[in-house]
Amino acid sequence: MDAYLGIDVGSISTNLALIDEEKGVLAWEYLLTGGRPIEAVQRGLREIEKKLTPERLKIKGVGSTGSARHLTGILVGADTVKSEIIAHAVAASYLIPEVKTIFEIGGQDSKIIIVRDGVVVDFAMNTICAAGTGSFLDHQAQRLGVPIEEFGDLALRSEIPTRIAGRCTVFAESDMIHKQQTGHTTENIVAGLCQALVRNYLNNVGKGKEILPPVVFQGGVAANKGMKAAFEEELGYEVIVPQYYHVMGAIGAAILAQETTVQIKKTRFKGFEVSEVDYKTRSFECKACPNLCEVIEVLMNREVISRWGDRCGKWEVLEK
Amino acid sequence: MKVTFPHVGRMDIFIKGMARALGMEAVVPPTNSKRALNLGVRYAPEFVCLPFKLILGNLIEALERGADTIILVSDRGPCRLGLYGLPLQIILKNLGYKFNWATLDSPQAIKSTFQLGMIKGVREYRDKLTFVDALLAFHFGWKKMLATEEIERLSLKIRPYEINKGDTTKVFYHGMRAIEGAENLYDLRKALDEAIRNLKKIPQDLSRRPLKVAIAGEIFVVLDSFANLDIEKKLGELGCEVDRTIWFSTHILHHLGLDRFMRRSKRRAIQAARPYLKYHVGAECNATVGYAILYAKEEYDGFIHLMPFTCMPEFVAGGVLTRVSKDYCLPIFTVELEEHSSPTHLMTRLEAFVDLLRRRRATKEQGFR
Repeated sequence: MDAYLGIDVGSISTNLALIDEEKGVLAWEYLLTGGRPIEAVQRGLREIEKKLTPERLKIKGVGSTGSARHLTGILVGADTVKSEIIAHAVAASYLIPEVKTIFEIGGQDSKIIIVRDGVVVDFAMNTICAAGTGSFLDHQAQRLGVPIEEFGDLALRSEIPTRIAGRCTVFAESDMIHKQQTGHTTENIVAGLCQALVRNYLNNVGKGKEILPPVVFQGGVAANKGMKAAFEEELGYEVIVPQYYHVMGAIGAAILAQETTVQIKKTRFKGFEVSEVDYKTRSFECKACPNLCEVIEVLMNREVISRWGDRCGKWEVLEK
Repeated sequence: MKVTFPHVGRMDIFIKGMARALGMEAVVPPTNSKRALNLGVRYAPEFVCLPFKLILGNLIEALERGADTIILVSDRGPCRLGLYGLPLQIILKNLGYKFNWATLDSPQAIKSTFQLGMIKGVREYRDKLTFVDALLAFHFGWKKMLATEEIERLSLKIRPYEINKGDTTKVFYHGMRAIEGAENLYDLRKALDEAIRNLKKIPQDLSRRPLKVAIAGEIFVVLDSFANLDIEKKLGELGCEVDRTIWFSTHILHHLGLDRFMRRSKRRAIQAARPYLKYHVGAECNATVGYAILYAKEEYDGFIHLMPFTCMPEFVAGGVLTRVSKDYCLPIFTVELEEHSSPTHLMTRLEAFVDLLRRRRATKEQGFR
């Protein structure tokens, strides 16, 4: 069977998705990056390999996305390396063709993508502030002693959500502590936090954007029912959370790989064996000028296969 | 007297060329680097804009190299640049530096500075400064600066076609060094011709159809490739033919009122912005809005708006641009730059923006068929 592989390596999670010729999802994998993108990709490949019988499977194309897309692209031999914005938009408009707005909230960033007739016409990513991302929710759940999986259900049980100052996450935290001390219940605080984050998201990331339904909400935070409910309350209509909300980037990358292979015919995929190859990265500071660029080197079996990070292009030679 | 000045685009080449023709000594601060930025960030107020921090860094590095007279080209607001002079002087004095200071912010200030300071300074090197000498020196500096702009323009055109990534940038910098080193008009001509020849020799794939993207915004970050994280190079390598709206020469010509007959002049841009902005907001705000309209009319694929974080006039422009973007169906991308900006952060957004433009063009062309 022919299949396309998409790999999305983000700050918090590494996701892989395998789709067939009809873009149906054959397998997916969601693991934590844990600051080690190479290991995460290799682990993910091994898991995917376990789930399917690779002998009967022919990988015809590979796409990578996410903040480690370039590194991953070199590692596995990707046919297309695209930013997560396009990958998310492609996946959402395939699964929900009439989609007009996409909310994507991940571990470290949040974005809004405006789609009209299946084409991205505008987007925004959080720039100066990281308020409202998955990491913050995770941290607060821990502080309140609520497992992150139950966070959403708890929020839904609230009757009078507590008002929390959500402009800045640092102040949101101190406000939450204050509300706790004055006797607000945990579910009301949790629900209030969701509302504050939604307000923050719509005012900062969604600033000046034309938000029209259908709205698709994806990324790790979409698992949180409290956030979905808060969005719906603020917007006044239903927000769709797709079945594979947490691996949409990987699905998008796989679809993009399928698009590319139409043009290039043969994939550059190095095979599932790359999960056994010894990859390492290291960095050094170039002292040739006062810019002191930090140059990153990727080594395969102790041989440098790629370098980047310099402003002048002096070290970049090896990149193909 | 050792004169120095902060970097603004290629102004250093103009002034150095002029000084060389006069036989004077000018201390050019080292090109903008992480060190200059770190010095600026350390001694500048936290919320001031990126240009201020880089200018401060430049001046410290120039004073370290023995400069004793600082010239700051400025204007009189409403942008903060109009007030830069005083805090810069105070910060540098508190750091213990001794220097003469001249702010060139009006024709009167320029006149008196040149009469009192410069001519006296020149006299230290030459007995007599004739009007002809000054004119020739100005001419040489100006020509040199134009030469660098010419090859930079050409490199922006060639980069999206280059087959080996990075070729254009290398050849361009090589040409720049040759032009910078030219001692007289003859050498300059030779260096320019050779640079153009070398740029045209770069292996190119002419079957490509690059996206057309214009860059506008606050003058300092548009002109300075360090401040804008090499955005032109990045866009070029992503397959965009970039047109920059502001050049050092066009800026000067505008202020002298000599841009009346130029096709994409700041004057026309300000006029084009009239339906949105009825009065002068300050700095480049009106021009930024107007350029978006002018380029939308020329069917450009996209528009990049550069601004320093916390910049008032450009913040206003950004707000108006969301309307312009809708009215003219022109994708506009605003980049806020500050010392914490990271190249990877910018790259992700640029890649997405270029993808957006490419897909938009593909659907447009399908629609016409």
